[in-house]
This record gives sequence, C-alpha cells and structure tokens, in this order.
Amino acid sequence: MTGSLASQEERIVHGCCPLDCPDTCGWSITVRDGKAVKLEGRKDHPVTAGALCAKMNQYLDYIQQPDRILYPLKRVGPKGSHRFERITWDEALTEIASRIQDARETYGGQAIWPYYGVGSFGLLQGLHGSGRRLWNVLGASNHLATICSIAGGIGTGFTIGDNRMGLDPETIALSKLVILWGTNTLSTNSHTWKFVDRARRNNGAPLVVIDPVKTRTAAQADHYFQIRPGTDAALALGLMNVIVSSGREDREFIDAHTLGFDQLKDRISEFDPARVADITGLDEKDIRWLGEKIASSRPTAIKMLMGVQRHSGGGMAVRTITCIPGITGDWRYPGGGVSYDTRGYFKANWQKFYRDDLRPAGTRTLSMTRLADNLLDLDSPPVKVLFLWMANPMASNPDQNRVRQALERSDLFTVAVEQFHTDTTAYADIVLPGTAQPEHADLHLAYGHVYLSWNEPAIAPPGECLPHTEIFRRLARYLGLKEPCLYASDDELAIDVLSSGHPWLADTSLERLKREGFVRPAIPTPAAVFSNGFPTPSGKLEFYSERMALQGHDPLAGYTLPAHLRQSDTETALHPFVLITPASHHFANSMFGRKGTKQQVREGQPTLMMNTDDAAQADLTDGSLVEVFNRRGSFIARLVVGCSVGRGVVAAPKGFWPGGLVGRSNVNAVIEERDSDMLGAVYSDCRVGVRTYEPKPDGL
Amino acid sequence: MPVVVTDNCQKCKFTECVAVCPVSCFHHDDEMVYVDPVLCIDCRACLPACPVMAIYDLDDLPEDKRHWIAINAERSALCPSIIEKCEPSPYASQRRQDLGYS
Repeated sequence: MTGSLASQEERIVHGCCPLDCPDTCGWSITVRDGKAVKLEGRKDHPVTAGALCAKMNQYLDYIQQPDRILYPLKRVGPKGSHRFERITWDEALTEIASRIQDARETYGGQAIWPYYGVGSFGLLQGLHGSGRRLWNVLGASNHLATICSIAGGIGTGFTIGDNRMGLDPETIALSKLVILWGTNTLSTNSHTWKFVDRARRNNGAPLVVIDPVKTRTAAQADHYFQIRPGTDAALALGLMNVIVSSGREDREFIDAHTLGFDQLKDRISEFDPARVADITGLDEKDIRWLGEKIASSRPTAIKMLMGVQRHSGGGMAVRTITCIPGITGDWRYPGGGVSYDTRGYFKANWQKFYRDDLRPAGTRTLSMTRLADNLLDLDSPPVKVLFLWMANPMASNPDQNRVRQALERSDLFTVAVEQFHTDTTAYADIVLPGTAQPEHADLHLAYGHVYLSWNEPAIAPPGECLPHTEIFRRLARYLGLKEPCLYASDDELAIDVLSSGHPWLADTSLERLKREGFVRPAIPTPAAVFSNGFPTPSGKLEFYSERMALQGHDPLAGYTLPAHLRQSDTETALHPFVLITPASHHFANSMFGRKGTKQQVREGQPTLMMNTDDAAQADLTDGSLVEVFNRRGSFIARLVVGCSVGRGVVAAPKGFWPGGLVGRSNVNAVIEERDSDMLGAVYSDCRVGVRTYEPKPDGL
Repeated sequence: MPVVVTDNCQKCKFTECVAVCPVSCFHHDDEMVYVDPVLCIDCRACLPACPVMAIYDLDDLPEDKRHWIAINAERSALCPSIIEKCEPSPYASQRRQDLGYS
C-alpha cells in the first residue's frame, strides 16, 4: 500500500477525488482497523494544498449511508416503481449475458448501448476507459460523451491542434491580467482560485469576470462583465478589434506561429466595439477598456470552463476566444494563453488502452445527450439493451419527460450500476452494486491541472460491491469471450495507458504513482508548451482552418449565434427568457442532489434567478414559487429577484433530483435535445416562460 | 453556508486555518481571526486544522455561539486579510491546555 504505517492499526492511503471537477484533488485516507476514519486533502499537492470542497468534505459519511446498494437487484414491479428483489451476482451476470447475446443474434451488436455518464473521471473505472474493450469486441454502438465539454474541445482543437490542451492553470499566478470567462471558479474550480489570488496580490493583476450570471466569483471581480448569453465569440472579436486597431498585435508571433491572420483581420474589422456592445449587451467603453488592458498586459491569462459553450455557437465561441493569445503572442509566456482543458498534458497510449481496433468498422456512434431520440426513434437496429454506469439520465439529461418515456419502454432491457438508488435506477431491470472511490484502484488525469494521480484502494468494498473493471471482466467471462485483453487486471490496464513512451512521461511509472500518489509530467516549471508551435496540420495556430472547411464549418474564427437569438418573434414573445443552467455550489452535476443530503440542505430548494426589472414587469414576487415552462415541459422553482442576471435572462442551478421535487421535474424538463455547432448539448440555450405556480387540484 | 470562528481563537490565533484555506478568506486583528462569509466556500478544511476547535459549521454552531456569525461578518469587513500562517499568541499553548486540547 502507498503511504506510511502510522501505527499498528492505523495507516494512511493516498488517493484522489473521482468527481467531474477540474481540480482532481489529491487526498489521504486514514484507515483504522479496516475502516476509513478520516479524509483530508493532501497538503503537499500544489493544487489541492490541504483543502477539499463543500461537495466532498463529508464523503466518507456519504458512502456509508445505510441505503447504499450492496447486492445485485432484479426489478419485480413495473418500471418506475422502485420495487426490487435481491439476486446473486451469478444470477445477475447470467441474465445480462443472455440478454446481450439475444440482442446480438437478433439485431447485431449495435442494439447494445453502453451508456456511461461522468460519475467518475478515473481512466480505469470511469470515462472513457471502463468497459471500452468489452463493448468494442461485442460490436456495441459507440457511446459519445456529449453532455459537457466536447464542443469547446473541438473548437480548441481547430485553433491550437489539441482538443484538450491550453495554459497550465498554476501559471495564472504569473499573469498580469486574469480573465475568468464563463466559469464560476469559487464553486466549480476552487483550487485554482489561489493562483488567481497570487496574480492579484503579487503582480497587481486585475481580475475580470465575464459571465451572464453574477456568481460568487463575479462578486470578487475588479471588473464584471454581465454578457448576454451565447455572445462571447462576438466579444472576443471585439477585443481583438481593439488590439489590432491600435496596432498592438504581436507581429513576430503572428508571422512565425499563426495561419490566416489576414483573413481574420477582415473579420475582426466587422466587430467594432459599438457593434459588439449591441450584440453582447455590454457597454462600449468597457469593451474598449478590456481590449486595451489585454493589449498592454503581458501575459494575460484567460481561464474558461464548460459553461461558456453550452449553446448552439459554443464550439466556435471557444475556438474564437482561443485566438486572442494568438494575436497578443501570449502563448509564448508562462501565465499567458487560454485554459479550457488540461487533460492533453497526459500523453497516454490511448490506442493500446482503448483497443478501438477491436471495434467492427462502420459501428454507429450514439450521442449521450440524444438519449430519448436514440431510444425512441432508432430502428436499424433499435437499442434493445441499455447498460448504464456512472450516469443518472433522469436527473441530468435534456428533455426529461421524453427521457422518462424512453426509459419506460417495456422492450428495453436496462442495467444500471450504482452506489445509491436514483430516479434512473427505478427504470432498470437489474441494478448492480458499484464501488466508491476508497474501495477501488484508479488512475486519474485532470482537466484543471497537469498532474497524473493514482487512487489506491483504502478499504474493502462493502457488501458484494464490485469495481467496474471487475464487473466487465466477469461479464466477458459469462459471455464466453476469449479475447485476452478483456481480462487485463487494473495494474495491466494502467501500464497499457502509461506505455506511450512520450518524453513527457519519462519520469512517470506506475510504481512511482503508487508510491507518491501524484506525478507531474516531464515539462518545465513553469510550462509554456506552445512557445515553439502548435500540433495543428500547419504547425501553426490556425485562425483559418482548412480542416473546418472540410467538415462543413466556416473555416475562419467567428461568431455563431446561439439558438435563443434566432427564434421567431412569436416564439420569443411566448418564451421571453433564455435559461442558463449553471452548476450548483454544493453538488457535482447531480451527485449529492437527492433531497435530504447535507449538500442539498445547504443548497436549498431549486431556485430561479430573475432580473428585478423583468420581475416587476411580469408581476412576479421575490420568494414566490414559479413555474418555468416551454413546449418540452416545466419545472417549479423559488424565485430569487435581483441583479444576478440581466434582462431577458433567467438562471436555475442544476443537479436537483426530480423525484423529490414539487412537480417531479427539474430544470431538464425544459431543455431541448439538440446538438450544438460541434456536437455537445445546449443546456444554456433554451427559451422559457415564467409564471406564478398554481398548484393543481391533485396537489402536484 | 460559511463557517464561523468563535471564542476559542481568542488569545490563541494558531492560524493553522489560514494555512489550509483555499480562498484566503481569513481576516485578523490582534485577538483572533475571522472568516469572510461572502468568500468562504464551505470546504471545511479549517475545522479539523484548528488545534482548539474554534471553527464551526453553521449547522453545528451551538445557540450560545450564534452571535459569532455577525461578529465574523463585521470584523472581516473591517480587518486586514491574512493569507499566511503566523506565530500564535504567547498565551496559545497555555490556553490550549486550559481548553482541554493538549
């Protein structure tokens, strides 16, 4: 085991947090007599620095709750009734294998949909590695995780050549101007705050926050820009207009390391500050101020997370914002550039790990956020087996009413691996008990820092819980599959993914990871990895991308309108508000969002933020219950009136489980199943109406 | 819900809490530290760090200490920020003993 032997009965085991969060904290678990008694953030981790967060600070209690699922279960009542009986693992795996075989024989492997969510970011137990080899061998439909970052990732890749690369957030401490763009750092990325704080205290760097919602992070800003949702790309072009109009671009960097500046210049000239003010709802003088500030601050750091791209122009927005440091030359400097994702710092051997070569050619891909469409509308072949793990689509997916209808299909065999019952497990035919983070091994990269982490199991799994890796090994055996790579142990899987031979992994080995808990790639400290070029087809930052043209996109960085600004006048009159669905402070997506958890009690009821003037005009009162509606459905929330949002915008934090709410719907009841410009869901691009909630006679 | 520093901090001021706070939300005067309730992100890293258990979650704050909520809010607005651990008060280890934490 890693860590030290503190006493006869007590030992310290190193691990890390598995949640969908950029911070992937390093932690230590104190184990006494086989029980996990203390969980602490590692003080010696440069990012974690000894603290966890509001979501995880009572995690050990959470996983020991009495309603933890400990045994395989088989549904005995109708779908949705939550009536199960206990069965053995043998019975469960026999049934699952048999249903998979039937589906393959009748419809082909593509009738199976291996649907994983983002419940764990561990490579072995979570996305995107867990079970992948098995599903490839079975010829199952290829699951595409579209619920979150994909659009911005694709946009990033078109500009700088790697979907998952950018500035190292630790280097923000070196910046002279920090822009937090579409990200609520104090709620969803809190460990990066210290680097922002250092830049302010040590370098006098101003903090600019750009966000349609005045979050707790925005409240700390020196300058807050309450931007109209979905217009961020226009602002980026306006800022570049100010920089280039005053001749402050870095010509040397542009000539040496970028492609398409002349074409971009033409486009930039169309986005003068007055026009951009009109598009974004911001003041012209503020746009000029920020453009000037970027022009005169080397380096400027722009930190984005996924909120900025949850709309129809989201991929292009991230692409265009990522061009700004190409104009200023900021990519040269530690502390300069854009950070959206850092997973690209792990130069893994994805091929050897995923074994996508085992997947039959021409296998279809199913988008995760088109769950209802794919379950209800596909017929060649239809989806007959839905295998869910780390996912709670009833809480998290768009078009909630239609998702429920899809999961109710009587001819769909559904398996769910879970730690606790959710609104989704009610629709499963078989529920399997999965392990929690202290109970299994895993290897983690991070999307908010560059360290690779190892999570050593600290305690034995309770009951009959099994890790995902073990469930998939056993299922392969029950299916009679002979392919040896399906039976790789956790260590063997880890060794495979670490085996790329890339120079950045020169100091990384599984042995070192297990010993130390986290390892930095072999890059300089501080790192500025794009100072000599970009991994694009041209080797340069591409303001103009030929690849995009080939895929049917506008090849030049630009502004793609969000859908909510492209509606008819009638539609806009019926549904006057665009709805933003930001993260909650106390939940991670829907984790901990069940009614009655400590985190839910702290988060409170579902709320809807509305602008004071809009509330007055609509005759709605602060604190009242309102119904938020459109053609897809509706949900009920407590109205919070103020200046957190601008006119025409409402915001409802996500993550509440629908089953425990009045009306039994959460915010996803009004979100459409629709792809953004570069795949990806559109959680913050739907129009809604808001009215006072009138309880119906039947009390719902 | 932000956390609240209470009376055990007085004449101690170990500042172990300051060392672990991810958002540097502590302020101080000569007597003790205070938490800025607007900046506190409820991570609770400071609770186990304090050698004299001076910090409480709002959930667990006893009735007779509720007045500390307002004191933290007021004093953090008036007093300077503290971002690094410093030497405790000269009375700190005696006070720790008296409080029963040594």
